[in-house]
Amino acid sequence: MLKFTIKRLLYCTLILFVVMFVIYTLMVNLPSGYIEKQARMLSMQPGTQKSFDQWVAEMEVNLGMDKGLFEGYFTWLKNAVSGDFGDSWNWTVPVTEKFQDVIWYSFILSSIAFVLEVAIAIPLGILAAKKQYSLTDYTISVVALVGISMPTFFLASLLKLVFAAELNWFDIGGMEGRNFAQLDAFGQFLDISKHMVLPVITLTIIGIGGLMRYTRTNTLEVLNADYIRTARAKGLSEKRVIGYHAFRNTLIPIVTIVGGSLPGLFSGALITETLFDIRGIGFVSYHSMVNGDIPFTMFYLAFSSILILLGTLMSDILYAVVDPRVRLN
Amino acid sequence: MSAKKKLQGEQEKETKMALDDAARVKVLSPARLVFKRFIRNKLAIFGICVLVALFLFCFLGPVFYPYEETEIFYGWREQNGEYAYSQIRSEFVSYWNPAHDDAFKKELSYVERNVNSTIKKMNASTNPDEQSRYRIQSTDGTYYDLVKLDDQVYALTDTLFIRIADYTGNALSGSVEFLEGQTDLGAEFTAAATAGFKSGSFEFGGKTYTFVKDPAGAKLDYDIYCNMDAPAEPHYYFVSTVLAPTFGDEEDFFKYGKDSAFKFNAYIALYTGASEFTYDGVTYATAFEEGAPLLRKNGEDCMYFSNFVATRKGGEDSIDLGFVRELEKVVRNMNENASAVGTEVVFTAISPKIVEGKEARDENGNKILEETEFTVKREQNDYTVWSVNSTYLMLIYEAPSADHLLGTDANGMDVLARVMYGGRISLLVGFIVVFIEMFIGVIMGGIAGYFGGWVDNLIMRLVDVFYCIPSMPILIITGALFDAQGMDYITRLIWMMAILGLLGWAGVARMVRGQILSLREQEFMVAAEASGLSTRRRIFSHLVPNVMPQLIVQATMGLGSVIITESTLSFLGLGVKHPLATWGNMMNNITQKVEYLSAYAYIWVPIGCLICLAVIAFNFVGDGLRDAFDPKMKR
Repeated sequence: MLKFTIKRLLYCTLILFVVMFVIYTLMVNLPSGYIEKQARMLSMQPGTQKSFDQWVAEMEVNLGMDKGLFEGYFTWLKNAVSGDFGDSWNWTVPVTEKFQDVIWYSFILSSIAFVLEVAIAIPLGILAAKKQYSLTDYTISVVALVGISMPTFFLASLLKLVFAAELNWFDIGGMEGRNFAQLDAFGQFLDISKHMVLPVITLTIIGIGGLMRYTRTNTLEVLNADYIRTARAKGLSEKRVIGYHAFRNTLIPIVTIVGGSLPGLFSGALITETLFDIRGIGFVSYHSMVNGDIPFTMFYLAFSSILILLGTLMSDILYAVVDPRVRLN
Repeated sequence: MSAKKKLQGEQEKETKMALDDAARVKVLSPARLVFKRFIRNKLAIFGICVLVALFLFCFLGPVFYPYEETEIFYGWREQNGEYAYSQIRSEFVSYWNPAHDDAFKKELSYVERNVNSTIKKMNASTNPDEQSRYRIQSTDGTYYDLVKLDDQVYALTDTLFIRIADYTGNALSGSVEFLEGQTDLGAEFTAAATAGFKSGSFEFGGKTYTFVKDPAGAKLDYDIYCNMDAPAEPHYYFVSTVLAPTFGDEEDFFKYGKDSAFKFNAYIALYTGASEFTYDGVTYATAFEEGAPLLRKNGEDCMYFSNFVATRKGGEDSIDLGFVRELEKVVRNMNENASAVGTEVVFTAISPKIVEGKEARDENGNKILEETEFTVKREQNDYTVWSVNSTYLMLIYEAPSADHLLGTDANGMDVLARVMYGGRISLLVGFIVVFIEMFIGVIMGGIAGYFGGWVDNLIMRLVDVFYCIPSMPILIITGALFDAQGMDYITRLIWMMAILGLLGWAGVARMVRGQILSLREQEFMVAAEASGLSTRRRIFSHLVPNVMPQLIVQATMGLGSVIITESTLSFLGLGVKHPLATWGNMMNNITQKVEYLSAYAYIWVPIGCLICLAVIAFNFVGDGLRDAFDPKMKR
């Protein structure tokens, strides 16, 4: 097990190395919007002695963008390994500082949505499988499909329209109400929680469909297995058949999937956070990307790549942990 | 269930068959078997119907729909706009006598410019003579008199204070030299002048004479001035007044609106008691009604004068006299009450009906009058009049109507037409991207699966790398960079599709490889190898067709997710750009603004539903196909 994990970790590092190189090539070779914008602004300021081109050249030197592809990449890599991701251009603070500021908002947001997803999707998925081809099954399947098919921005806009614009229960976006500064600590906590409601609902509805379908398919497979027939033949009650024998086996693939998505809780919800103005990692990265903030974008891409790799790794390991029949090699 | 089942049962009884009857076992080809299983799936059939409807709507709809994708609509719309502008004039404005040329006006410009302050001084004067006739000296030293014709009308005329002689000398002796054209008043006059020199003025023959120091002359050089009687027909240089004419007649307005000479004549006639005057061949009768001066042409009121001025917005239209009178009452009332700035008063007045920006005329060419509601609003010293009138507008965010079934959008384009064309783009992007994904995926997966070994290893590591690249951030970054480069919308559309395809092929390759790994060990492949087929044929004519079912399923599902990705990108403004329409970018500018979100929900909610519907339909069909291809899954 340990050997497998170490082997996989080494392999992941190699993949990450290549992925980051591909991304770095992309970021460096495409003309950077940020430097040109800043240089244009500086060259238009009164009293400036330098032309636009001079400003671009100077800023490239200052920001470390003048190096060649390989040298630049290895410099970045060396700094990144020692935990230094440079200063964010857009937020004018060190990248890691900004990251620490915002990551917990994202994590909390994603975690709540994730818990809700699991709590709703697994029971409903099992229920749908138990009553296959019934009205319940069709309803759950259709709802799951609608959840999968709904673009995040449409769902978010619909929720805003109904709950923010029409019913006025929530603010349309942002994390704090207008009188946030006047509230005491508990009031501030409640205020932020209230602003998280719509994003959490959005994330839950979007995420629920896939898990529900997956649970249903797996449960169906398990219910057709021989040991379930044996259990029924033994004269066990349906409750015990489903709740004990089937459920435990259904859990095997589900746990791997759920475990695999745990690292993703940190990666933030890019679209949802942006649409609801939640200052999480997704929101911050979106604005960094749109404004051509290369240091932060590189960091975010490295971070999400690591999370994706970790997710796969975790689900592989969990698969072996949960199902003793599987041997890792 | 019962009735139908019973009927079927009876039919079965009637056509009893033997066990070995050939017709009993109907052999279907694999394709027909799949088809049969597919059409039994209600959801899949629903999906197919939705897709067919969507395709007809998007690809055939525009052929029959009269509007183009980027056609901008304009029209006349009722809008609360500024109708007129009014003011109570307090500044005096001068109108020159047409007899004087520009050079002369320039000489007198000092006097004209200071006319407002002169009138103030004149009214403040304690001398009763000065209150009606005030002497002004022009820059060249010449005297003129400003005459009060009325409280609101003043005119500049020749002075009555005329220089008749030069006086040189002192209190004891002096000599009088009469100017040319003046009569010699004799030695007694000289004596009287000498006697009065010290006091500065003297009386002679019932008239008062005044000494004024000659500014250009020597030390003891004085001029003698005398106040003469006013002439029967005085000559006026200009008229200064706070009054302004309001033209009832459009023709007069265009003719005389900026004609200073006409106005001069009109004021002189009105305030010197003339009953009529002729200008440009037309005779106008003067009259006063309740103290208000007006002019009549052919017995009808055609112009009326007041210090209350009202002009139509833009000042290019005449204004109805009846309306002005109503407005004047309201404004004077507001002025007396010293209403605060921003006060609004609503009143109704009869005014010309305005249709499509022009005054409506009946068949005889007369204006059609109708009662209209106006709002007067006090600005600082002015009063603006607002009313609902028709304006030529780009039809922005029109509500749904018979012409535009879903209304118009922020650019005045027909929403329904754009939904159709947008659907075309969204669906086309989906198909092209999925085709690119499949194309790369099948080739890479096929090669990896068939050859195995280091080729497989290399390709699968590449697949791992592509799996690991976070695709949404990459798409956002490239979108922002296209923006920074100012790429045109067609080029960026092509780039976007290429990038989407490049980021998506890994899944297909992995699936194809997995299938081929198991397929290549089967007997038919051994047979293919034994018959000496080329590698290319073995991969692409024997292996790939066997992967086809899974490919079709994956492609169908992939279509849905590509549509979601594309619309999300376009929604963020980083995908397909205006003027091209897609479902995503049509929702973009509406849902971005809070006030638009609920006001124009009828535009974006249907579009969002269309996106959902398309994706759901692709998913239903994909599910149905998978179940039909692989019945083991659906037990």
